[in-house]
Amino acid sequence: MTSVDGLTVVIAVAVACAVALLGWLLDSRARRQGRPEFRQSGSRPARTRAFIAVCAAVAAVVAPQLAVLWVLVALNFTLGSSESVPFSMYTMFSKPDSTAWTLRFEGPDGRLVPIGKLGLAPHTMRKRFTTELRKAHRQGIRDVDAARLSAAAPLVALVEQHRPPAGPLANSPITIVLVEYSMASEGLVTVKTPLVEAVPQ
Amino acid sequence: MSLSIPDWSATELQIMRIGLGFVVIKTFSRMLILRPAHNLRHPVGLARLVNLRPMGSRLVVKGLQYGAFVAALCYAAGRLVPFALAYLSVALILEATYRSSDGSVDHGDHLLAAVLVAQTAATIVWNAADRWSWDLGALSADSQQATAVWWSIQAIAAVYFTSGLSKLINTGGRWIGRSTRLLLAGYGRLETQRMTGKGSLAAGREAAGIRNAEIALSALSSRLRLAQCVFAAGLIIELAAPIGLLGEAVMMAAGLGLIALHVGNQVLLRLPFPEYQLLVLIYFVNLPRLLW
Repeated sequence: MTSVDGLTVVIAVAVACAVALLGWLLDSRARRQGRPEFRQSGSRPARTRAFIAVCAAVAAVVAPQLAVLWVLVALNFTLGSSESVPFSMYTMFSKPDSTAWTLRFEGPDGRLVPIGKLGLAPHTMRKRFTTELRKAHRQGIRDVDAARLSAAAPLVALVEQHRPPAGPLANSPITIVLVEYSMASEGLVTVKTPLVEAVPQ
Repeated sequence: MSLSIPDWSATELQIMRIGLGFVVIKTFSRMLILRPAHNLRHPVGLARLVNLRPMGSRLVVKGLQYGAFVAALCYAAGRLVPFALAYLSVALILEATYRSSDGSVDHGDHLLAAVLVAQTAATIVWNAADRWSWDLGALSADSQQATAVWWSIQAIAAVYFTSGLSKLINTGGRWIGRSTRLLLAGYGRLETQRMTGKGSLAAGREAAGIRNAEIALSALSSRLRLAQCVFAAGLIIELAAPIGLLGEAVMMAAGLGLIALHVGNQVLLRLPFPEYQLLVLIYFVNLPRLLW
């Protein structure tokens, strides 16, 4: 029941909230002054992660009543960087981008195909596309369109694996369309690019 | 700033146990839906060391699932608790690792896995201390179950704090300023939701949730400062989750804040994470204490 345990929490939360609010302030000021967006160097996040893991490990020693909290934070920032369940850094939505995209599965008439009914989770297909895109870049495919085509190919195979033997989706082609979103002064801008068509064998 | 572990009554602890049993059954009951149907091409965590391909077999999954149902019932009834928790932890880690090794990491079960691992560790440590007369000091509470609950609460706080810190690390502290870009992701999520099959009604009319999300996204897109304030509140709630450990009233307030964050995510980004909400409701909000 020492005050040191509570103090570790208060300091950690206060520092984190202060960084968040200060960053907001700096970002607003940079925008007003028309300065380019802040970009951090490649190794900086890794160094910050290591620093946080060390701080959390120290906090676990000095605050034994909250040791579980700090040990888990330290493990999240070490083992979690490679997504070793149950440890994770929970990076979802941690890097808001100036554009967003999604995949749309369309029938021949351009209407949306509810692929969930085929047993395919749309968000899983989207994440799979991201992974395949990264893989294509690693393989040296630099052309954006070629990389997208290469990433879409495994999705076509998945659609074909899950295509029902009967019904309206059994024989109709399904087009995988990349939908990109961006914000302009006139509002939301949506660009649709058909990538590849899944045709029943 | 002094800390005291909450003093839960036997009834509260029993309700928490039944609540966790329910969350486990809910999670394992959807194991057979939407499984990767081929080899694990992007193994993560344990899948890098152990061959998890047998997890693709329907027979193995069924066995794991029924085992989890039995273990959850044993746990809720307070029978064979260490074995039930150990089984559930291993089963969920294997399942979540398997599903995340298909090129698409699924965080939906991470909080439950963290809670189960924390409870398993608490139970093992408590029993070992009891057997060999160790002094656990500040690490433990009054009873084995209270210790398991206290460790679970710390695990939940660690998850939210980590998530908040990741946002700051990956943007160099500028996350709030850039958070309005998540509205674009929200539009993408709507399109994704429409394809799940749940997002559209038979007559082609859209479900109310999608319509409401579109209205909220459109309103915030035209008021970017307000949108930043909304996202800032969400980030502060995540970062402040460990403050809940300082007292029962703050824990309840932090819990309600976290549930509000998930409701906001549900409305704007179509990401409800129901198991996360339930676990926060069980351990942070502690419904029996809130109501009586």
